[in-house]
Order: sequence, then C-alpha cells, then structure tokens
Amino acid sequence: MKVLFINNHGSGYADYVDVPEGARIDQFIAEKLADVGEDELLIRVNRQPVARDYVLQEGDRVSATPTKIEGALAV
Amino acid sequence: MKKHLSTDRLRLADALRDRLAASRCEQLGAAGRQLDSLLAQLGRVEASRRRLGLCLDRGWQAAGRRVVEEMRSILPDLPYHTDQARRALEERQEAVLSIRALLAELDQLAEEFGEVICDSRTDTVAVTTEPIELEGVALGAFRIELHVRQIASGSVESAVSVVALDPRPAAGNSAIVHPHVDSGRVCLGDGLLPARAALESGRLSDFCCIVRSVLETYNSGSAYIQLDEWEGVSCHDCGRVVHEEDSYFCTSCEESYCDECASRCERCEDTTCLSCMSPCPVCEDRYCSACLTTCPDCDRQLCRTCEDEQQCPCVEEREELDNEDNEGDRPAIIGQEGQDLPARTEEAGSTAA
Repeated sequence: MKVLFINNHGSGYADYVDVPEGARIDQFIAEKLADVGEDELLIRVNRQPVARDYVLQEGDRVSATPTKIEGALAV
Repeated sequence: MKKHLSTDRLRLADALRDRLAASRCEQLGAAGRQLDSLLAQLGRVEASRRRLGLCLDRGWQAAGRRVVEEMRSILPDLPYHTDQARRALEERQEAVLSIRALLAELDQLAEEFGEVICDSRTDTVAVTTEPIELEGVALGAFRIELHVRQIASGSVESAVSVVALDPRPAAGNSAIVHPHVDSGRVCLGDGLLPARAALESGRLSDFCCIVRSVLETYNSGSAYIQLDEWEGVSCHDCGRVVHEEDSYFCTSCEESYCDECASRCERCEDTTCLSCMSPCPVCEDRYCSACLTTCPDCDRQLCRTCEDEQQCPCVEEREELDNEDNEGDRPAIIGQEGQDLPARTEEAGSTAA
C-alpha cells in the first residue's frame, strides 16, 4: 500500500512510498530515518500525533520533522 | 487551543493560495527565461554554421577561419546554459493546495503551537514558541511571523520574522536576541531546504515547526554571538563582552571596560580608562584628570608632584631665555683659546695676540 511521506529531515518534499500491510509507524520511521533518534523527531500521521504502535493505513499522510535543526549566521 | 475568527482565517487561506499560485507562475517564468537563454545560444551556433557553409561554398578561407574563431567562443557557454535550463525544469511543480487543505494547515498550526494569529490586513500568520533556554541562557519566548505577501519562489528567510517577546539580547549587540537571529531575520542553516519545500507546498505547520526547531537548537559553530559571550558587560572601548565581575568601572567617564582597556591613576589609584588618562610631560606617568594640574605660566597639564617641584618644562625654557638675554648685554672679547677677557678701553685698537 502507499502512504504519503513528508521527510522534513531531508529535502523536505513529499513522496508516495510503498509500505507493507500492517506496518507500524515506529517501524516505518526507523527504516526511513535510521540515523535519527526517535526522540529527535516530531511524527504526525494525518496531521495528528499517534502512538508508536499505530498501524499505517492506505493513503495515510506521514510527516517527520526534526526537533533539533542547526541554524547558522547569514554571510 | 484557540481558533481565530474564521473570516480572518478564510481570507488568509485565500491570500496564501493566491501567493502560492503566483509563486508557481514565477517558477515557470524562470524556467522559460532559462530556456530562452539556451535557445539564443543555439541560435548563434546555427547562424555561425550557416555562414561557415557559405564560406566553404565560395572558397572564402580567411572568412571561414573567422567564423570558426567565433564558434569557438560560443560553444563553451552551451553547457552552462543547458545546465541552468535543466535545473529550472527540474523544480518540482506541485499543485497548489486547496483552501480546505490550507485551513487544515492552520488548524494543525493551532494544535502544534496552542494558538495561531491570522491577520488578514497584513496577511500575516503568527505563532508563539514556549520560552527557550539554550545552554543555560534563557532567551524567552519568540513569535514566528509568516508574511504571506513576501512568499516568493526561492526566497524563504525574507518571508519570516522572529520576534523576541521577552527580549534578552546579547550584551554586545541589542539586535541579536538569539544566536541565529539578527534584527528579526532567522538564518535557517540546515533547515533552509526543508523549510523552502514546506513553504512552497503550503505546509504552514511543517514550516513553522522547522523554524521552531532552529530556534531550539544552538549551533556554536555558526552563531552571530556565542552563548558564552551572551551575558555580561560590553567594553565601552573595544566592545569585547566580559563577565560583570571581570569588568572595570572608570570613575571619570562612568563607563565599563575590560581589563585591557582599563588602568589605574598613578597618584590616586582610581580605576580609569585609557582615554580618561593623560601622561605628565615630565615624569611620563599617566594620571586621571583630577590628579593633573595646569601650570600657571604655560597652561601645560602636568602632575601635581612635578608642578610642586617646579619641574614644568617652561621653567627651564624661561631660564634659557634669561641666559640668552644676559649674554646679549655683554660685548664679546676673545682671548687666548677663546677666553673672555675684561675690556681694555684705554688702548684703542689693541688686541691680544
């Protein structure tokens, strides 16, 4: 099945990705963002916070936004 | 959670949709211009090729060589124009969100931040963060303002302002209220690309969450002012920020200075800045203005000790002048080895051998 994944850790664009039936949100995030700790991400499904064992549904909108992003100074 | 008046939200969603649509057109326009540049270059190549053919047909060797030279200068630019056109065409062209979807974004913003203020007069969306503390330095809460009218293709940081609600600026610069915010402009750093994508897609909630994440993170490698220099006193002379207990207070000008710009009067030992001290021309020690006095004869500033001891240079100068005057009154008589001899007036014309 397909879900819309918005990865604000990378380029920030939204893409439809394939996920197996019955996949949980924590498994999905661990696979897509393996280098980011769970506590460093704001995870929303269909614009709502969900439990880690939430089972993804066809067409779900998943967004992941890092809670720590390094700013800079303009040169 | 509060929701603002629905009329304002609706108007703002409409304004945002219009701006996003305009931004899409700007992107397409930019792509068109890049293609025009590429076509213009290709047109020059085509024209040169036709002229080269003409030269070959008519045996015009010199003219043919000139055409070849011309093409040599045109061809190297082609890869650049091709690449620019390719980049412009690769820009993702997502459909503009519907009003319904944009209203859902505003709802989500309210969920994430507790409140969202929509001002349809200025077309501004504003949310407030919790008070932020970075490495023990309390910076207060910030308001993130998205200016819909400033949203333009490729420009993100100009569309957002960050306002400190309880300003605790850096000691050395009142315009810097956060290590990554200068005069209301936040430098997004690693957040720039995802923020741009979020804004261009109309994902307001993602955009504001990204800005908040930047505000809640300290990047010591690229800060306007380091946090360990945030609190303290700014030296009135060199501007260096020092801890309050490491600063010195000038008793003359009543400003604060660092240890390199402050000193001590040689006489009264009061802390004085280098600008408020002057050297005595005699002993060359430095004194505060209270410990300097004015010579009554020449108005020079010198220390009280040297003045009391009659050490002012004008005393010596006066003595030299007096000596010169005295020597001018006596006629000069040269004796043996140049010694002065008393004048002998009774023998006119007589001189020593």
